[in-house]
Amino acid sequence: MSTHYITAAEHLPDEERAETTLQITDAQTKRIFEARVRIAREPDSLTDPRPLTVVAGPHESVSEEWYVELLDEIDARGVNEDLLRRLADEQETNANIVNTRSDDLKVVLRYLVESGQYDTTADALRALAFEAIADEHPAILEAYAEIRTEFEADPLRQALDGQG
Amino acid sequence: MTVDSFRDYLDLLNDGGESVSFEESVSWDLEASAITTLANLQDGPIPVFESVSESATDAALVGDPYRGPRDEPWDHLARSFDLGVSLSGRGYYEEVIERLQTPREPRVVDRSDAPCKASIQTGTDIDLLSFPWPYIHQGDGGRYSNLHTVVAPDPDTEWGRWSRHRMMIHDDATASLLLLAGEQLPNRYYYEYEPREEPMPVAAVVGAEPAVECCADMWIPTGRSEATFAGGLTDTPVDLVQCETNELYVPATAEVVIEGRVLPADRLDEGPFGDYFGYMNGPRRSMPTFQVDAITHRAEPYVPFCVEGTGVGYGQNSTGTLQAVAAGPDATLGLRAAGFDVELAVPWQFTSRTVWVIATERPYPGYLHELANFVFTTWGMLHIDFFVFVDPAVDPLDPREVLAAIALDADPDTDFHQFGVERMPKVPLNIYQTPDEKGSADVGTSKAKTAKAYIDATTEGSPASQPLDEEMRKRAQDVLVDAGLPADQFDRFDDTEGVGR
Repeated sequence: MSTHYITAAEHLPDEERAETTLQITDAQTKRIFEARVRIAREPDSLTDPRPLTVVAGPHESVSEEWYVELLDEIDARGVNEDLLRRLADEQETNANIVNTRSDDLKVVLRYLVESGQYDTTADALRALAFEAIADEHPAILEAYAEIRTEFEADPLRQALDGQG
Repeated sequence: MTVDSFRDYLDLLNDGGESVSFEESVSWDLEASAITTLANLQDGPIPVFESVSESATDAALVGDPYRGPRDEPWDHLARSFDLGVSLSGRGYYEEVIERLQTPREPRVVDRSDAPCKASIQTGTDIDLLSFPWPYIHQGDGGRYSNLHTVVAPDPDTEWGRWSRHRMMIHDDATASLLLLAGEQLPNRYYYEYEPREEPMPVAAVVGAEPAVECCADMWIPTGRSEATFAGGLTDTPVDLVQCETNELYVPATAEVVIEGRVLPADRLDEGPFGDYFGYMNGPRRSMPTFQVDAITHRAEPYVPFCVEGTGVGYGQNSTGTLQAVAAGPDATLGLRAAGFDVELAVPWQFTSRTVWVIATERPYPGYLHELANFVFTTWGMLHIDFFVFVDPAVDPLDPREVLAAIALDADPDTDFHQFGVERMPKVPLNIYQTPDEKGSADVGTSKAKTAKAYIDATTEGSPASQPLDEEMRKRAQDVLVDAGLPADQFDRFDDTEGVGR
């Protein structure tokens, strides 16, 4: 983790110390990313304060020194990978049933099955849901695919799976 | 033998003693650009940084490789195109113009024969920040790739559209591209792909052969392909290869190719950046998001970069040289093709892109206005602020000749013309307009406007008819000779008066 971050005054939230999403630049690597943070002008009001240079002005040539506390990193796709990783981890031991109630949906799904387009209503729902997520939230699917790959490549996990 | 890869071009510089290799480790964080700045300002050798600290990829940085010698900026590229040595500026322009008149179709090679495919990153392997992209100026918004060719689809040619757009690196797989509406490739994104909510496939080609970089800086008309002009320039077809993740073709010998999509309705911060005007330019603007789908590269790739801002005044850099030795001959050819009796059109070497000098006949009143109107409304409306028109006998590549023409033949009362109105489109990278004057940055385009101007420094229509004019003219010639210009080029200077001064 870097010891120093940079952001622009235009990105600052209205209130200090409130939890917010902020675009920041790692001063050392110059990587630019979004994170859930709290910021303050004084370090004492934060739990783990790091220096935050806030640039301002028409050419960003003036700056103030603030402090930032990183709570959670959000990648450039707008996906909270830590949250996704936690959910994926929990899913290892959870049931994989997705429930919903809707007479209308059930009629339409059964139509798709009985007209021969899908084998079961579960197949239809799975395929259509993934298609919709791929269209509306492709970044989540991309991030999840990467996390799945990480999980599968984890040697400890592979060793444990082997024992099972 | 023409040079057909960036590496061969580096060898050519090395063989000629025009580059210097740094074996010790250099940081991408301001150090490489600081050394390059000194080289640019002192007309020194091209720096090649073989070892870059804190870089996961074994890549080298090259600082302003296309910068030419200050007295003959065309020399390196003339040799790389096998145009011969010791060419005059006019000779170089005429040879390039002749080559550009015979474009050659590119040649498609197999992926297995393309050096740029030596290493391929896709999916989770993509790691943009593993390359040593330089942090160029203190105050830049991020690390930049700014000496590459962006390839985008074009309905009129299967080889796509090539141009240069700086790219600010955000993280492993995203960057922001400076796409200014009004230019050909950005227009395709803003007015075709984005309204259809489609991502535009692109490829950023880093370290392409010199002819590719030259043609990306030219004003190639719509319907024509930069790839064919690059083939004409070297008199050899450019080898192209298809991308891994889209249908675009890229130069096969490139050092690095970054494939991806410019996403619709998605913006990232871009800038500030110290661009070619010579100042830090801000604030950050919202520019289109470049989502990277693959990176292919040669083994131990060379990554060129340009220290923008060092090409003003006496300094030279890649942008200044490419303008003078690529955009200049191309514009000269284009103006002639449009029916204008132009001898040479040359960017003024002290401003990189803002001012151009055009040596031209002036066959009838209003001709210069027509010429300026043609350029401003056809090509250079964003980047060019004004022209200086001089007689065909004046060499636009010789600043002293141009300044003499302005001093002697441009009357401030009658020969300085404001062209058009304040509504003329203007590149928003300048520092003399406020953010308000530049307009909204939210839409990724610019509303920046400014009036244009031109100076008529031709002799036609400006005779020294009054005795007072003659006296002033003689005095001006005295001053210019005192400043070091040769006396024999002036009609009213008496050599004997100059003796013993």
